[in-house]
Amino acid sequence: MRQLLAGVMLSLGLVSVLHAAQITVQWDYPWTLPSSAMHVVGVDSEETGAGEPGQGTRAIDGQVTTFWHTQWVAAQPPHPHWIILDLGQILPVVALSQLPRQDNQLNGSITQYAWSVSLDQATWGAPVAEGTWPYDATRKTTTIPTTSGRYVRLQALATGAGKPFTSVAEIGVQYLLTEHTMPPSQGGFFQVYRCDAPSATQSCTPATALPGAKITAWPLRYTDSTVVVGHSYCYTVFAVDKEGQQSPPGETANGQEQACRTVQESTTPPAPINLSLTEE
Amino acid sequence: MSRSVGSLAVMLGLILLLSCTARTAPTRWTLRWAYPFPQVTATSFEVYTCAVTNATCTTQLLTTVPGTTHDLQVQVPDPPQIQCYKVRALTATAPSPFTALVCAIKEQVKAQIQERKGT
Repeated sequence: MRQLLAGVMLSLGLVSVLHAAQITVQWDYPWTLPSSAMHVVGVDSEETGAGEPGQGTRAIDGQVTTFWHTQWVAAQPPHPHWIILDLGQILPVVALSQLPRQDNQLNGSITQYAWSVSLDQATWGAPVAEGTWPYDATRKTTTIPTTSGRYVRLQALATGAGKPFTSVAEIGVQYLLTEHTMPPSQGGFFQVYRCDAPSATQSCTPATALPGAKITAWPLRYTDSTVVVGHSYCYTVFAVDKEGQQSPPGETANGQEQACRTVQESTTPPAPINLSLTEE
Repeated sequence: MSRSVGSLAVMLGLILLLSCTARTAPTRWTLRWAYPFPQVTATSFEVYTCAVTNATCTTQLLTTVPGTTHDLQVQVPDPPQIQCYKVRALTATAPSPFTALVCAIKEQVKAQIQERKGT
């Protein structure tokens, strides 16, 4: 349940009409897949020697002190190296992370990588992310456009110091919770706060919880109908778990904690209502 | 000759009688809507119609109702089987979105649908 305290990805949809101005606040909620939900489908190479074993399964065992290491005792196959994970079900993947080995050595730590996501493990297509990482022991998290898939592949194209090895302590996968992927019995809710801003480009305090803005069901959206045309408002969303712990505020795509809008009059008039047809 | 003219007259009378007795009172269908938005002045309302197979129902204009009227309704023809309608408001600046679709369905068709559901 602690996981609920991860960040909320906040975005604002603005709907405003003349008769009833409204601002719709909507957000996504990424979740980290537990290591126990994944399993290793395959690796191109792994060190299985008794002295310092480095099986691929060690990259998802939840232990930062163990790691996957490609073969290095009897042979030292060159790059590229790869590991493929099965997520157990098709998920909307939004971020992938890799923690290098944490034993104060950097041997095998990846410096050039490619992440790929596949629905069926047979077709991979272009990598969802590729690039370079610094040669250090910090976690490398890569946000990707939401990609549905069941299999994730990490390719190590190069590692530091020109060594042919690859090593990875832990691989992490984040996906969007939806009504289909929300783990049961998580409980909790989302709370939307609002404050009056001088303009849409200035943040504001204090923010107060909007009445009726405890969102417990999908979609993750709240429509604020108490806004006034010409005024500016900033919104913040927090996740609250069932023990009452509140998450840090969600972030917009620009990394802001508040999403702000000025309510403008729409040129679209409202549609007629209560259309009915009676037979007499 | 006179006998055949007489037979023809009897036949015509019979047909007329049968058609009159078989015909039920004409059905009147009335389409009603509301536009309770004092900040917006609708200059007129457009009523669009379509057969039920037409999913959008936004191409065939049936009639235009003045926006000044307070009695927002219009008589529509008895449907051949199913006939559907949408309405939108026109203002000085722009047309509104369309309403949801409403449909007139003949009792006979309703019965057929019920029968199909039952089977």
